[in-house]
Amino acid sequence: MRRLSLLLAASPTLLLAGCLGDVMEIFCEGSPDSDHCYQAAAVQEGKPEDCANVKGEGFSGTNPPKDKCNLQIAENIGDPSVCDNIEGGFMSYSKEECLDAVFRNHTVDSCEKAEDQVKCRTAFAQRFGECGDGYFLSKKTNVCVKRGTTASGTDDDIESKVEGDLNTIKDAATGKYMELLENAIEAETDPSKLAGLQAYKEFLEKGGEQLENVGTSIDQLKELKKIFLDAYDPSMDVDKMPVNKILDPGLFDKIKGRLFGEDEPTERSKADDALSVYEAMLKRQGEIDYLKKGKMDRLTEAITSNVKDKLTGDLTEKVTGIVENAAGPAFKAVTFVGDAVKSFQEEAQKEMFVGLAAAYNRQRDAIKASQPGLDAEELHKRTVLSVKENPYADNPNAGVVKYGNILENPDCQDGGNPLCIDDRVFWTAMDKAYVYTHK
Amino acid sequence: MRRFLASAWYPFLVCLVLAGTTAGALALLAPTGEDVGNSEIVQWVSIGAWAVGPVFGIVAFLKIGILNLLRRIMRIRKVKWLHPVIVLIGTVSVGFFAWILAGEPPFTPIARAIVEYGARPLLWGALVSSLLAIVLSLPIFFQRRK
Repeated sequence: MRRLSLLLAASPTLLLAGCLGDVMEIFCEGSPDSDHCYQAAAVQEGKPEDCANVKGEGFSGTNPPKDKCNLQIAENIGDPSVCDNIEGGFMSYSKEECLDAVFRNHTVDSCEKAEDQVKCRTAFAQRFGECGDGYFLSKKTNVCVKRGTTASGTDDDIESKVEGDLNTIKDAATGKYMELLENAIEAETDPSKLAGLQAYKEFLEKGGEQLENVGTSIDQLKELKKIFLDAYDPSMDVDKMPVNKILDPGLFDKIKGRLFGEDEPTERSKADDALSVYEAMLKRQGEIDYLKKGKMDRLTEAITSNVKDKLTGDLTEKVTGIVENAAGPAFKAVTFVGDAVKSFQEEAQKEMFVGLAAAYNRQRDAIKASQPGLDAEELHKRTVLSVKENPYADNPNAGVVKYGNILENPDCQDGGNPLCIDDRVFWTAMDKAYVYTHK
Repeated sequence: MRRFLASAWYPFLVCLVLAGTTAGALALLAPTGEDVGNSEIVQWVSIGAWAVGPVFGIVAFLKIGILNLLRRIMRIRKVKWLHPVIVLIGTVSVGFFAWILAGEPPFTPIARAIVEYGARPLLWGALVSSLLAIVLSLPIFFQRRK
């Protein structure tokens, strides 16, 4: 009867979905094994303070169920600071066991969701010497401190507020672009960025753009902003790019995951993820290379590339016209075959990169298994050396996909061979993708 | 058709579909319980999971009934389009609950079992019944002009 009344009382709670742990707690009071019940409830909620309900009946001097509660929560959420709650003792768990469990299964990136990020990151830094993205270890206090933004700094977002506004096509189409620019100027607190935006507004106004009537197209304005306003900042570097923004599932993937369940990641899917990161980082590196140029160089590049594109378009049309007249309909068939061969070659090229990314993941797994004490940075360095030395070390039957050829070709910055990697970017992308997919 | 949409058969049919689709989804998804990690929990949940569809079907039907009663008290029964909206509230709220439950972190065996055996099939049931509610209610929103 008591259980029934508890169940009826819990029914409204059930409507407050997402509180499974809280619902479990309701039943723990009357449960014959309340310690394990409260333990499960606290672990499910991920709240170390709820472990205080675990009394440790039958034990004196130690409280192993409570220590296990803290250990499991720390292991699940990846917050080593939870291990400080462990009391230890005879037949119980130790703080070291707890920390080992956390560090085995998590990286410092898990601290983003921690209640006390600084404490969490400091614990990682004490073991691995690294505080993670956006933080550094203060030598004075030996605690992780958030990095401040520089005078012309940007945060981790790839798009700035003004660029976000520039992409609001609807607003631009209704002539609200200048209003958006005014709002951006009002909201900007960084003095150097503010000066840049004001100069930009002046430039537009001198060019005849009035507040109510913006005739220039959005692309032209974006181009101008990129040439005159944007500046390179070290916080844009590829090794500071947050990988989760590239690899986190989108809305449709989330819906698919909840309807059908999550698929176990395969070697192929991890390699594909690594290549997605590489692609995004290459794009960023391209932007950085552009921004590192002086303003005159940027202007020159913009003008010559526009002229070149126009020329190429015109030329292709003229050539196609001439050949079609001479060769007749057969010309079309040849171009289709050419496209098919080209796309096959592109597909085959892609398989080479997938093979190389998969080789990195496999060899890193092998080195990690044989030398478990290595930190992430050392592990990455050894993996890169190992892959460069012998890309097929763990996969002698590589078949037709000779991905090692990519490493023999010159770097993309030096040569014209499409089967190349940009050394500045590729290995960083592999490292970051590995850490993300092995969380 | 409009008489059907104004009657109690409409929410009854939608809730029946919710219950049936949930049970059908459980049969089709056929969870094995391998990831749960506790065979006793799997044993009990795999029996109780068949009741999830009917239970939430009844809950949705009761919710719809209460909202329609409020509609009657407030004397807005003649607003025909409100009835499908109320039916949709009934099914979508169940879907929302299932969505949040399916997103529960898999930290304990009981959570893993509830997600696999309860939340996922219920999400399917809510999705299909909501779509049915929308499709059946289209005649109200696209009235033919006489």
